[in-house]
Amino acid sequence: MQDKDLDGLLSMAASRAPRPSDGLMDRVLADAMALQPRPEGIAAPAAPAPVGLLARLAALFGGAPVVAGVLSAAMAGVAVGYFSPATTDLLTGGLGAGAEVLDLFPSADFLMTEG
Amino acid sequence: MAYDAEAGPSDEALMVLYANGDRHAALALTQRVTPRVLAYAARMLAGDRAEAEDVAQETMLRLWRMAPEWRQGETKVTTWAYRVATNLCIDRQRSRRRKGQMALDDAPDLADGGPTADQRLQDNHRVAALEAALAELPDRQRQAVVLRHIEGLSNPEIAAVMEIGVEAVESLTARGKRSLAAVLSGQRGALGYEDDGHAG
Repeated sequence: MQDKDLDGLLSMAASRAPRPSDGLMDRVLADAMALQPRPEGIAAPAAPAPVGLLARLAALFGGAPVVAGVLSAAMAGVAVGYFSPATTDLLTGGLGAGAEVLDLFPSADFLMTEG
Repeated sequence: MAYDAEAGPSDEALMVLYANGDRHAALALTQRVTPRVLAYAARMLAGDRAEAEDVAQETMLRLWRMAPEWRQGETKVTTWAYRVATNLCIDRQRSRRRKGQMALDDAPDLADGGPTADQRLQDNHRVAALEAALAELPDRQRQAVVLRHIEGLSNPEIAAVMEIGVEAVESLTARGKRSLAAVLSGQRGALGYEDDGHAG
């Protein structure tokens, strides 16, 4: 057999490729659908945590840090007003104890005398 | 969105779309790949239509299963499919040889065409003889000849399918064609080639 005869025969075979039956295509497609991964849905956003009364009050005044600062200042004020100066000195380490007398006008006594 | 069976996204892109749950991608891949695998399997199995359909379905089944792990850019879908189909065909041929059931008379459905009934009959006879001759070739030679001269793949594509070098592909196809010519030369007269004036 000559080469060109064989080439012609191969070309003829190539042009006569068997066509898939409808049944085969249906079975293949059914397999595809059965094995296809399911698309992952978009997760619903998590429900917000319930907000308590204190949290809502804190939000009203500008948030928890602001409320904490205000409370600290209020407690310091109460302490200064309630405790005696001695206790306050104890708390401050004596920084404010022993008031010194400062005479700014030492030669002005004569103005206070009568006569 | 429906995809064209021929144009549109590449087979590899369709694999990714399929793995992401796109049903149109499943349809497009089925329409693109199944006919090629079936035609190839039919040639490799000497025209046994039923076996070829089984191979085609099994090949596609494996394609669907491995879609989630498909890595784009590593290999072509058709190359992968031809490789799987080859292994399935060889397994079935070996099984048939063990059972002594090499069927050569189950020719595939042939497309209508040809000018006359006599010519069509002769063409059918020639194609059946070619399939019988292909079945006598060693597995690797038959695979190379079918992929090159019937499926129309390039030598580098065949090298990728067979996982060998291009030079080895060229050698296999050349030897395969020589073997085919030798087998068919004994039937030259019966196939009508002498009547065509192609003696030799």
